[in-house]
Amino acid sequence: MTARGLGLRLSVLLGLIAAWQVAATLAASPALWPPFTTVAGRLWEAWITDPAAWVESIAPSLGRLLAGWAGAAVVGIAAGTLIGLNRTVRDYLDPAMAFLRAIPPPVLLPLFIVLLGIGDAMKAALIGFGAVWPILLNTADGVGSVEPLHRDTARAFRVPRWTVLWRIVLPSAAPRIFAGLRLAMGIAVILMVIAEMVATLDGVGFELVQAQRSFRMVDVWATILLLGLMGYGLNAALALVERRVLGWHRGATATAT
Amino acid sequence: MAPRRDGDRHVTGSLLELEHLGYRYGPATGTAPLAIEDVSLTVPAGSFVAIVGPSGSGKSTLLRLVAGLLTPTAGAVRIDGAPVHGVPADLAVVFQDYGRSLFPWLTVAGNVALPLRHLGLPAAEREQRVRDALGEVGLAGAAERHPWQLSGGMQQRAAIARAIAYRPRILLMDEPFASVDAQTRADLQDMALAVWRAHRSTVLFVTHDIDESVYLADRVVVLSQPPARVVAEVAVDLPRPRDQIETRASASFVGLRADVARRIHRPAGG
Amino acid sequence: MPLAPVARGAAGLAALFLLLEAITRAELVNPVYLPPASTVVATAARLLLDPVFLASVGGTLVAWGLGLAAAAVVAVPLGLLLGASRRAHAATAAAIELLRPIPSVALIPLAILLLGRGIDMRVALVAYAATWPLLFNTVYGAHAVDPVALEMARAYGLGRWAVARHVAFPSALPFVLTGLRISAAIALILAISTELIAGGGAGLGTWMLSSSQTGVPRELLYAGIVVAGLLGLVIDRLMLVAERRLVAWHPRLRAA
Repeated sequence: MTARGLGLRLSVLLGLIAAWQVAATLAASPALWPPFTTVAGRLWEAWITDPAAWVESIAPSLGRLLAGWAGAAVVGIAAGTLIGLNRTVRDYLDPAMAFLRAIPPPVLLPLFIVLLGIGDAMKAALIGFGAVWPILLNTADGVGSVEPLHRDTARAFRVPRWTVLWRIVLPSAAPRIFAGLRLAMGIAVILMVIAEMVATLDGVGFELVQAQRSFRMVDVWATILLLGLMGYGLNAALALVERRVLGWHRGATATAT
Repeated sequence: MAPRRDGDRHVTGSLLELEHLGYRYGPATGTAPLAIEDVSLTVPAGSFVAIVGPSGSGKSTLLRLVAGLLTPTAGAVRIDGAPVHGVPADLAVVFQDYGRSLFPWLTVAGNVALPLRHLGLPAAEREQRVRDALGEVGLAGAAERHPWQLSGGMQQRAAIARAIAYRPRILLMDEPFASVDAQTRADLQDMALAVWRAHRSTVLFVTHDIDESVYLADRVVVLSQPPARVVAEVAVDLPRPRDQIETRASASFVGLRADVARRIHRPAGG
Repeated sequence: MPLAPVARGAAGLAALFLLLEAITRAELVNPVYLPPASTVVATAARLLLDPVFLASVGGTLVAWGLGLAAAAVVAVPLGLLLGASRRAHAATAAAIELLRPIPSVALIPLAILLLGRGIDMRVALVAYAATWPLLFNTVYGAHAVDPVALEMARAYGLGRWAVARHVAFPSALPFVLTGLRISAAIALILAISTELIAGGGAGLGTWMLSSSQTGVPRELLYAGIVVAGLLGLVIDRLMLVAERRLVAWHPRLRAA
């Protein structure tokens, strides 16, 4: 990004915040529209600088989120590879998967509560169920569209199947797999919040509902900002990993025009 | 410099034989187009054989049959007299499309090393082979770069390094220099000859370029319009080592080139 | 003899059903809580004739449809604008990057406090969540417009509006429709989540909430899940069919 572009972005951002501040002050109903400074101050003292908030809310939320997402990644990549490599398996599973995928995950909450209680396992399972689909489908597509000449090259040199899978098929599907992982992260955050709002006694989502139920408007705003920061941080972390792993892909696509 | 004959190259029986090879696309019984009608060919150990033919004559299909990437619908491929099923050991392929046969996520050294992983070599020897092969093709300095950071000619050198590090007895090359510019092509041709001499390997080289076939090979096999048959085999008795300027200017080169060209354009009895 | 893909798919569905039936019949979990799959499917079939239940589904679909339409009205023109103008894109990038990571469901409590628990709160949330995939796909599609086609249109003297109408929009259309399909699924998730969390009004989520609170019979609840899945499936397939029809000419689809 150019320095000028960065400057433009920052000034737009500051402009938005200033507009919020002015509008909230003019509206003069701090109960509903607290000024930005109030919300940011609450975010700072009640969340970011409060160790108890980290231990009691943020850590459990992140734990559930990452457990569900990582489980979805393992299952999605494994099943996606199997389906992508084997047309027959795909034929058998396609309609069943289409149905399962179409279930909006929140409606599964009551079922998962019956099966797994209201603990962390239930939340991780719900997150995993929702997050697995983009990973699985992207992996299957990526694995199914390996460059034919890559396959021929591997066969001509008698590269064993296992090596082909690890060194050729999965690396060449990696850009698609990462696209799936990114989509899944967005879904995982949403489901974490829902699960914590409906059935839990701790976590950021729980605190959000508590704030709403007791009409603590500043806390509602501050918690929403926190969730935005968490989402941003998780995306940034994933993008960092992706840049490292897929460095070759950016280079290769930049040169091929 | 006086041209010198390679006196030390003994032709010891045929290493590779194609026996009435035929290939039909799609189901073997249908009326699908016949790509290769009947090709018989013997390639002696240590020789450099070029296959030329009009475009679409099934040259690449023929090479894929030899490589075991396709299964012939008639006839057989023999190595050392034994029929081959599947991809034979001791064989390496250099494809035309270097941009898509090299793996972009691996470095150049990684690409060369990948086929060596399953040969059960000690790690030190594997690394040595990779180093030697890259040195031989002039890519010693590019080992840690990625294929897409190299020019087309350098990418094809990397593909050749991968083939020679594998130490195949038979090296198949499928129009390997068709996608590079003329100067690079000349350099790569000389490099291919140097590699062939150094490793005493046997090369089967497919090309649509008549000059290239005559310049490189001991023997040029001319294929017909599809479905492919062998129209003629032209022995190339040009002295070696060959030289891009001297050899190409010699009267015998010009005569052989004309001979091959005539057989491609007027195959019916010439 | 190899089975046709359709037969294989049917076999797969049947296997899934039998698996669920076996698990539920094994009574690993008390059948009061986890009734047999066949009972659930039968209940789902009955539910599809139950006017109270259908009114709930209708309520969800109204919020879903209005929210999705509102999102389309905002996101598609905005996306075309951002895709066509570098400056507009740069100016809004920061704001978009700031808003996007906020999980839409996190806004439910805020929306309840600001807008109450009525239909407008639901529509607003559905619209907010559905805006993003539509917006990003439209921007992407607008970027993908062939520059040669644009130059050609300008060379023939087409005005800005004509270029947008006849060149930019048709080129971006396949991407817009893909975005719409993704947004439709997310909108459904949001519509139901809102009902689950906020309650009130007729909706599938509200219906599930009340049937889960009344306790038995549980099969009603699970039948609701089956219907929700079918609803999602039908929406997705209809969108896909519409997509194929509207942009059958596009190379991206012809290639596939």
